[in-house]
Amino acid sequence: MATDLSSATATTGTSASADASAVVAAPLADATLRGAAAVRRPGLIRWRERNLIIGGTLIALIALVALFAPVIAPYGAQETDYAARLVPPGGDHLLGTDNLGRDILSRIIHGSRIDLRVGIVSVIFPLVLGVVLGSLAGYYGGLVDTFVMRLVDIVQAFPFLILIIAIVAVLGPGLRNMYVAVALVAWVSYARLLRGEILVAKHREYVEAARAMGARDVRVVGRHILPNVISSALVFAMADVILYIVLAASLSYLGLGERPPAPEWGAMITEGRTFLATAWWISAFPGLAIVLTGIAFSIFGDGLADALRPNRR
Amino acid sequence: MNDGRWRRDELAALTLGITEGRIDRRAFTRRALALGLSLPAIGAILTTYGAGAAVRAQEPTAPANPITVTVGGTPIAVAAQDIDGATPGGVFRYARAEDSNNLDPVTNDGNVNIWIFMNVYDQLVRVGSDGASLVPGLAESWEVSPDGVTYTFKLRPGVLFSDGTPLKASDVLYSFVRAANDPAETWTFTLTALQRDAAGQVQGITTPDDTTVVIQLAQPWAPFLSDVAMFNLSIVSEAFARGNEARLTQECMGTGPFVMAEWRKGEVIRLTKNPNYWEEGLPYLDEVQVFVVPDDNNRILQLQGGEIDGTYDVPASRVPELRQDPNLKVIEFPSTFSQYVTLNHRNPPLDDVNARLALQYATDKQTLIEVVLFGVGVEATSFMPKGALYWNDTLPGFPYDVERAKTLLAQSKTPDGFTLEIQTSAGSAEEEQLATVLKDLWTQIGVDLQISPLERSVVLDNYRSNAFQAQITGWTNDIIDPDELVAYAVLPESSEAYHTGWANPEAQDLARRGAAELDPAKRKEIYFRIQEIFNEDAVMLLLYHTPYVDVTTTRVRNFGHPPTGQWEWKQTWLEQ
Repeated sequence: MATDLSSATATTGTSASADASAVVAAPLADATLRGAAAVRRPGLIRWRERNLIIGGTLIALIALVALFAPVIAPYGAQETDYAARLVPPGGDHLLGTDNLGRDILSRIIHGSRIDLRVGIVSVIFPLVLGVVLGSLAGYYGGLVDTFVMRLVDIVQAFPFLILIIAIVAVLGPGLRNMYVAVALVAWVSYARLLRGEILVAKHREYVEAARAMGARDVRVVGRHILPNVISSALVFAMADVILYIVLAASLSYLGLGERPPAPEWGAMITEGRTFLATAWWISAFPGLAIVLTGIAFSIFGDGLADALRPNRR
Repeated sequence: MNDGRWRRDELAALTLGITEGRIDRRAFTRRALALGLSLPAIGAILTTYGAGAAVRAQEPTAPANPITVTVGGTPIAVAAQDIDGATPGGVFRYARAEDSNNLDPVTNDGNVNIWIFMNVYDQLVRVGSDGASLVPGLAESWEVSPDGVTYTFKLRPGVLFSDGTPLKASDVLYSFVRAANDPAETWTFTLTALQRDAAGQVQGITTPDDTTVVIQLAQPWAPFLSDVAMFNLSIVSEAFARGNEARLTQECMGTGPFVMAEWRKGEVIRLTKNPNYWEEGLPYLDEVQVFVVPDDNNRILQLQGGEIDGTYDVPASRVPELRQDPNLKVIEFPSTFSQYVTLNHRNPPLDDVNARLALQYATDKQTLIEVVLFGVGVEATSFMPKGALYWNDTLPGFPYDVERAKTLLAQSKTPDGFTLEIQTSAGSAEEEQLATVLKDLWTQIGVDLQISPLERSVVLDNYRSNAFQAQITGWTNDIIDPDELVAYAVLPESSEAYHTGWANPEAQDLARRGAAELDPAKRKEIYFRIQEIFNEDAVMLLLYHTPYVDVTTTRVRNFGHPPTGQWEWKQTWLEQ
């Protein structure tokens, strides 16, 4: 972008002082826009990479566990052993068993398939929907903008979790309905984000240049604007993955999530609720799994944010 | 009944009947129990017919001499009292999970209410603390005409309401007429035998003087005395309530051992000693405070920390641990609670009796009791509560037998198994565990059970509209005569047999005859046969009975929780 700008100024010309101030102002605005992090830690390239690498590795590990769950898990997810109920951690059952004699470790391992899928699938629909609608609103403005943004206002008028619960309650419990509910509600954040970015970007010279070259709107947005503005949405999406895993857990806790006896982590926490005082491990370890996954995506998101920023320069 | 609360029944010794009736399913949810009994009913009738001895012989758990108890007018001979050294005074602090919402006896179907106001109101006749006898309440005696249609109640003299006004026969008349004309018809079916005029108004209740009430029935009705003992016929002060019945949902004015002194919604109900109570020396306690503490763990912590003296709604999983605590008593009271899985017969595969039988035999009740109830429960062999009046003790039930289940399934229209959906109340840990174990057990015969946790109100709506394949349901008796449970379980007009859609002409005919039959021997035969038919057709999946479990500190003595459900605190006392 900076290159675009400077070349544009260079070619234009005469009124030097006015142009110079424009050149200076633009990068400054960019730096502010791109977030404090880049300013705070100038040059800490290694640290940025470390976040990306640590987060990425953790996620890869979780993904591998999910992929090979049947091979890794010592027991089946639904395998009951009524003779070994509420066994404390250690021995044959590393993380203990629940009140039906199911191995907690195995259920967590099998559950990673559900929870990882939930996190990732949940985020895709609102991301796509929000990016498309946000781009339309930001790029075309006018009636389209008004329509989309009023829609955003309406959705945002309701508390996020309450709205999700209401929709799931109407559609019926189950993950598929949760995906629908999340798509219907969560796109607004992405739409807002994209609209704002595009409002700024569409007046940039490189966009005008593309238009001047005769590119159609789809090409202008798809090839020129989006690549420059999508990174913030992607970083945001990483944070959302965690949110949706926790959301699935909350819905399971309320009985609106995955059908029992699926080893969804949130559902496992719920199952252990009545045993908190006597068999803490039933709830504690799935809780730990959620926390670890959250940390992994959180670190990865940070790394991603940092890594993507320099590329924009 | 299946209100998520912890009622379990081990009842081996209970004699009670059950019922519920054509109540709709509100009942199902929470109903609670309250009431009455039938042995007495029978006792009274017998007195007239002189056949008392025969009944006693058939009912080993019946009180030693039901006839005397019934008619004699001796106040309350309650079994197993722990009153040696009882000292009056003290405040008893109790905690439960849910607050009351309506204290009007007539319009009520919630245990959260009934169990409380039964300490404030009296009835003409009441169920003894053993849950198996009918004893005099506000009526010190009664007579039944030989044709079984005229009941003459003699009121106890000198009884005062807690505001000091005397109880009169007109209060009884008022309370009966109000209950029988309840526009919501929650419980009016228990009073169908009352005479009515063309406009549907109750007739035939007369009060010749201030202490006599004469009731003329339209037809002989075996469960009538049980019905009189039910909570909806609590005697309310006419002067207090007439013209302003709505206040009864929030306030009480009765003759019972306690007065409702304060109700802070969502927080506490304070019951103070009724200074005018008619039973000499009772209640012992100066005050009972009933707190609302929704979280199970909190209630238990408060109990262990001495902030409260007792609690209900304890999760089964905590019972073994609480038993170990030397400062606490875990008390299991015989209840009338039965847990079932109701099956919808309207569609395949459950329209096939062999498929239903296969499920019965593939269900390991002992494992369920062990896993879900931590051993606190007994296997059910009949749809009637174990030990209840006319409970059929000769039925083998459905002992766990996978081979037999497989054979039966092979003879059904779905020999290779099938997929079945069971609806549970979302958030109920117990229902979910139950369903999970069933799923596990039934995979052995090729049945794939899909568990659908739904919002509780959706589960109930589906139940009412028959929109389910299988649902976990339960039952608690409101009276001790079997008539109403049998009506609910058998007759199409009550509930389409637990919404199963089951229709068996022989059973239906027997159920109708049972209510009108006054001879206990014949009634027994009728009800035994109904239970047999019910099992032959494998109408519902019979699981287990569970007791009520209350936990108190050791200084609490003589805490009462009779099978009909209400807490009985008038004889409870605290060690100083």
